[in-house]
Amino acid sequence: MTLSSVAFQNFTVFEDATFDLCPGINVLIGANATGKTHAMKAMYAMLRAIDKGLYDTFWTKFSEVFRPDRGDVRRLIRRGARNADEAKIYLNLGDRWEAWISIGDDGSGNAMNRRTPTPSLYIPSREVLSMYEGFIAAYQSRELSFDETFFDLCVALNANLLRGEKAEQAAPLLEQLETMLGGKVLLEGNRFYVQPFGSERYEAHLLAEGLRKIAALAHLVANGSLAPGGVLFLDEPETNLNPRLITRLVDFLAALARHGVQVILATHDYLLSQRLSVISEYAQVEAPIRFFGLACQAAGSPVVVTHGDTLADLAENPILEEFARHYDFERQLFDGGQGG
Amino acid sequence: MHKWDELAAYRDGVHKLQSTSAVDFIGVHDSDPYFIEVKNFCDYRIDNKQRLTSGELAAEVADDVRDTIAGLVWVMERGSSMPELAKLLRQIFAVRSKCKVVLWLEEDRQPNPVDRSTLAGLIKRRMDWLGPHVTVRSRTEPLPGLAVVGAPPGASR
Repeated sequence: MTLSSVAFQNFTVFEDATFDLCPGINVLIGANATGKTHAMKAMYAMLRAIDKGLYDTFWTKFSEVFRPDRGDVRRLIRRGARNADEAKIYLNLGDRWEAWISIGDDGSGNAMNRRTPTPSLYIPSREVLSMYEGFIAAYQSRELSFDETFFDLCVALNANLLRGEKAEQAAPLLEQLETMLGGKVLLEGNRFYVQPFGSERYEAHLLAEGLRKIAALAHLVANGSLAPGGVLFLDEPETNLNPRLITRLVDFLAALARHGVQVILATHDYLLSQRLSVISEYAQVEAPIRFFGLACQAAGSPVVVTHGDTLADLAENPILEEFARHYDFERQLFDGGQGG
Repeated sequence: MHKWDELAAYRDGVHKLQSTSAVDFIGVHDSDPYFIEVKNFCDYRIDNKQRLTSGELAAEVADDVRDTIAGLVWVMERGSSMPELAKLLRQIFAVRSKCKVVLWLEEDRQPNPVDRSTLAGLIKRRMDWLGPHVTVRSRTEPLPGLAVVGAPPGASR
């Protein structure tokens, strides 16, 4: 079951915004502070709460994912807005509503249609392989200033490898990532290693940070944490990746979507967004791709969400606009520097 | 390919409406309709004219295509004294696939693939109503099957 739509009312930067998601790859684009991460974390927190049947404590998950001061989820209500004493989020799975929550000064509430477990995973922009060792135990026994997405991800990494039919189904995806990595990922004891093809293994700590992200994805595929029917949230996956790996990452995401995993990602990267847009324009993949533009018209005003099947359908694209400004700047310098 | 803005069908048609513009070439290649606008920015600094920003250039190309399509519709409605043009128009309007818009841009500076991609993206955004495929090319990255000879006469700046 895929996320079909999520509506936000008076939630952080959103006054009244709806994301009509596609079952394939959903790409969120917007300047900093336009709510991309907030939207993804909220969707993730709701799916996780539904998955665990947290009928009465949706806001517990929100508190752990967003980490507001004193755990007070009322700090997620949009500030300075008219009648903003309550935030609401409505979530639809497939063709029906699944759950809603409200967070208000007068109290909070939630409702769930029925419990439809939809496995989800949130991968933050920062890699976690190098912090994995001892993190789960430390998080369970100590106050750490990491939000719960890091803990959930490490728990997912801890799962045993697939075998049998499910391992065979995951094999093509895994092979793609191992090719990018140049080797296999091993978890021994509490430490991750990479075994390059035909060479001695080495510790993940010695691996380039961008490759650690690829290694984490590989292990999540190998242990079934990324499986058909699930939802993957990726926050700025381009971080620490050079353009060649970004191109291959796009190919992997397309394969992952074809495999039945719904992908929702936020990006600031020109190559990542353009490549996804072009393969959508030329229908190069079987899975649908949809773009969401998040924009704020003026300081303090609510973020508005638009969507389209390619980047050209978005009225605002800050990535493209900044590249255009750079093009003009470079041309100016070139012209000004010629002929004396 | 036809030099659209030199055809009588254009001059006697939509060109009479002030402030309309047009692309330089129209045609059908491999069953796809092509709209080709040529911009020659070489030696531009010498003429000391104001350069178009990338956004203005994209807007100009988009407007050229829009006005060209309007002009072609006018010609279709009224028939054409040129059988070859009439045939081309029937082909263009019969096509069900996306049309292709080409900005042929010649500059002194070496073409930068990211700049070309950015320009194409800006043009596409201006033309979301039509949803064409867009590419920015020059002699260093020609279109397969398209022969380009010399600088087109009257190529606009």
